[in-house]
Amino acid sequence: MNPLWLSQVRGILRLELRKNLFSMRAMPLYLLASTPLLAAALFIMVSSFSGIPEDVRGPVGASTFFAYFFQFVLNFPVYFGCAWIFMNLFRGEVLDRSLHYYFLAPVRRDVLVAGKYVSALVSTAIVFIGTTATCFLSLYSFLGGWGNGGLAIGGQGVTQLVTYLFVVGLACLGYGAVFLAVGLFLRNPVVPALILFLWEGANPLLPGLQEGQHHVLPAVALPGSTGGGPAGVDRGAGLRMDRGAGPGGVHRADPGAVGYAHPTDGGRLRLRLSARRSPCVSRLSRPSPPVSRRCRCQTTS
Amino acid sequence: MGDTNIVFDNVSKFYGEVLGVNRVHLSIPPGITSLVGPNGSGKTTLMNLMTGLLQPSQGSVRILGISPGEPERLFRHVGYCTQYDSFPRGFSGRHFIYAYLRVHGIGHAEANRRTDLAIERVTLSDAAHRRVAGYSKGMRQRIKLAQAIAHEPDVLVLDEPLNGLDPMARAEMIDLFRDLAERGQHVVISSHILHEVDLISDQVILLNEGYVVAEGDIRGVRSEMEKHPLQVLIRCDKPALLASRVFEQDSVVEVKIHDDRQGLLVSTRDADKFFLALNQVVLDNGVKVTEVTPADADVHAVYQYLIGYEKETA
Repeated sequence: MNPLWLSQVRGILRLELRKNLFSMRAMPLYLLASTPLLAAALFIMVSSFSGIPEDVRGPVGASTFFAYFFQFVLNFPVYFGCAWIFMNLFRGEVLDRSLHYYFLAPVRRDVLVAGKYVSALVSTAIVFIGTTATCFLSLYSFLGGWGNGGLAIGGQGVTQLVTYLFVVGLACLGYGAVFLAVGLFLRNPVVPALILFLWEGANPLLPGLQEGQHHVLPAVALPGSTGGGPAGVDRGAGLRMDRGAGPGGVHRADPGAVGYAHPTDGGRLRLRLSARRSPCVSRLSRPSPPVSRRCRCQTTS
Repeated sequence: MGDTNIVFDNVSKFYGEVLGVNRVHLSIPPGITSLVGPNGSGKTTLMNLMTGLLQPSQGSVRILGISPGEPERLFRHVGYCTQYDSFPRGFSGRHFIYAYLRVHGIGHAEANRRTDLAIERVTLSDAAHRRVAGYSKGMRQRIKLAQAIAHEPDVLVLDEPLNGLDPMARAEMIDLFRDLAERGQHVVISSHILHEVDLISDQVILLNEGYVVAEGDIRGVRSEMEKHPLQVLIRCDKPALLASRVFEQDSVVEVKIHDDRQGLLVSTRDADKFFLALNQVVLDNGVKVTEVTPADADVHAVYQYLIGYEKETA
C-alpha cells in the first residue's frame, strides 16, 4: 500500500477518533453502550438480594440467560451504536458543514472513506468490546464461572469470551459497512436503519426468506463446563457437542457455530448452524432429556 | 502559459434549471485577482469550480495545468478558505490546523512547524490553544485563513476573507495577501468591499448573473467603457477660465464647476488626448493646478456602470 495513503489514513483516524469518542457525537454511543452494563448490574443487584432466579441456575439456565443477554447486546446497543457512528461519518459532517475540510485536502476519496470507516470501526469496537467483556466477566463471575476455573487460560470461559468479543467485532465490521454506505447515499438514514432493524427482528419469523442469507448473530454461550465426558468434535458442522455429559449434558457451541435466541420463541434455544447443509447437523435435533424442558436445540435446513 | 495560470475554458455550471455561471473563459495570472459582483452573480460557484467542489456542466477548468478532478495533486498547490463559518467540534485553533495537515500526509514535526508558522502569519498565536467555538467572528476568519495557507499553496482561493474583521485585522490581512502575491502566488479573492478590492487587486473579474461582465486591470476595464466618459476632477485656482478652455477640446463632452468653486469636473471620451491638451491649457493660461484625479476609474464606479446600470435598466 502506498505509504502516503497509510499516513493519510492515520491522520484521518486521529481526527475521527477524537470526534467519535471525545465529542458530543459520542454521547449516544456511550448511552447505548451503558445499557447492557446497567442491565447486568441490575440483574446482579436484584439476584444478590433475592437469590439467583431458578431459571438461571445451573449451566443450562445460565446458557439461556447468556444467550438472551448477549442477543440484546448485539440487537440493540451494537446495532444502534453502529448506526449512529457510521451514518454520521459523512452525514454528520455535512450537517456540521465541516466535510469540505476533507475535500480540500489532497486525499483520494477512497482513502478518505477507508480512513473514516477504520476510525469508526476502532471507536465502536473499543466501546462495545469493552462493554461486552465487562458484562461477560461480571455475569460469569456472579453465576459461578470463576469457581470452575473457567477463565483460566485455555478454559471454557476464555473460549466463550473470545467468541463473544469476536462476534461483537464482526457485528461492528458488518453493520458499519452497511451503515456507512447508507449514510453516504441517503439523506435521511434513520428510515433505512429502522427498516433493517425490523427486518432483522422479523428474521426468525420468516424462515423461508432466510435461505442463503448470512447474518451476524451471537454465539450461544454456556458458562462453566459441566465436567462431562469427552467432547465429540463435529468439524463438518462446526459444532462441538458434549455427548457424554449424561443427564446434565448440553450442546455446547464453538466459535464455528453461530447461535440465535429469540425472545418470542418461548425460551427455546434455537441454533442456526453456519454449515446448514451438513447431514451431521440433524443429530442436534434430538434433545437430551434435561435440555428439552427449557431448551430444545434444533436446526433449520 | 497555461501551466502557470488558472484557466476556465468555456465553463458553464447549472443547478438544475438555475444558472450558476455561463460560458466563462478566463485565464488568471499570478497576483491578486478579485471577483466582484452582487449576490448570486456566480462568485462562489466560480471558486467551487476552481477547487473541484463542483463539477462544471460544460467546459473544463485547469489550475496550474492540474484538473480539479485530481484532488490528491490539486490540493498540494491550492488552499481554499470557504465562506462557511463552521469547524469540526471540540478543536482548538492550533489542533484544527495541525490535524488537517496530518490528513495531508505531512509528518508530525513538519506539521507542527507549519502550524506555528501559519498561526503566526495570521497573528493568532495568543489564542491558538483556545477552542475555536470560543473565538470571535474575526478570529474564526483568521484561523480559517491560517488553515488555508498552512500547507503553503501556490494558489489561494478566499471567499469573502475580510468579512467580520476589524479595520486593523483587515489591514494585516491585506498585507498578507500582498506578501503572498509578491512571492508569485495566485490569490483569488471574492469581496463586496469595493474600495478594498480597488486597493489590493492586480486584476478584477466582474460577474453578473453568471456571466463575466469584465476582466483585467481596473484602469484598462474603465478605459474600454466608451459608453461612459471618464470623469476627471481638477482642483485649481481659476476653475471658470480652465472650464472654458478645456471645453474647446474635441475630447471633452461635459464640464462642471465644483460647488466650492475651487475645481471642476471634466467628462472626456479620450483621456490620453485630454491630458495632453490640459497640460497646454494650464501652461498657456497660468492656472495653478493642485490636483488631477480620475473620479470614476475605480472598481466602485466600474461596478456601478456595468452592474448597477444593468440592474437599474432591468
